Amino acid sequence: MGVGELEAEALKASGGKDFTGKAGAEGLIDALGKAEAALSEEKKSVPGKWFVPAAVAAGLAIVAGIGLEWQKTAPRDSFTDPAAAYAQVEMAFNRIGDGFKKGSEAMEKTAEIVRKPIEIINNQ
Amino acid sequence: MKRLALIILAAVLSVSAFAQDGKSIYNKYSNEEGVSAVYISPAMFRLIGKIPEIKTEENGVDLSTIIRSLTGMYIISTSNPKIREKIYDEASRYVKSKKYELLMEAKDSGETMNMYTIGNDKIINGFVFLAQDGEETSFICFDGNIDRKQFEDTVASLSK
Repeated sequence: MGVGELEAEALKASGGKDFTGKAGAEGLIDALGKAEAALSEEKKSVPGKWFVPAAVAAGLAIVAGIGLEWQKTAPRDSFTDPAAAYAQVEMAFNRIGDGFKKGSEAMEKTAEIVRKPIEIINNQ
Repeated sequence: MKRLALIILAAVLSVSAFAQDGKSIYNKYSNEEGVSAVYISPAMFRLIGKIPEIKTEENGVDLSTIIRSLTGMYIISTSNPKIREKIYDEASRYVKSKKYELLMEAKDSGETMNMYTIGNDKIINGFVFLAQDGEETSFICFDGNIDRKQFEDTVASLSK
């Protein structure tokens, strides 16, 4: 901002007073001080408007970042020996096989329950 | 400030809900007390498949082809009553959210066992085994590109 513009701002802030002479200079300083105070007041009020949404957005971004980073974190291999890892895979498949067996048995029982009445009906 | 805290809390909850998958369930519970946890990485599966001296036959069933097609396996098993239900609920939510298809369900003497797969008619891209009885909860989850027919035949052979 140039000197001319400052003077114009001060003139505006003083309500059109003349600032010639010592008293005028003091008045100009006073008016400049007021203008500066008004500007800084305006600056202070601006953060109030965007602070809360910005804080919320920042918080969300941090939380999302932590969440995604946590999700990406690859666990460490439980085994360094492939034979031990294989033994574990084998155990897992046996467990799945046992579960499959139980499921199949349950299905067979159900099929038997359904089959008997059908046989009785067909024999009559 | 209170509102801000509530919004952040909601965000934390939504992120944790969003983050559910085999890996996140494993990461969340693997270090808990009374949990036995196993993770086998894709690199380890490649290694298992390459080493010739490893016998990849169980009960006369050849697992080698399936092992080669796996890209990661998470196993969690616990009898800790504080987290048994949590693991079961989170795993159930996970299979629902990812639209896993129920392959088999069996309920017998208080034990519930569910198997889920995701993929298409020919290929299984993900498998989840979830079992719970009065004392223990087991969660087995693996990913890969597994031939569906071969997988089902292998599991059927193992069950004999």
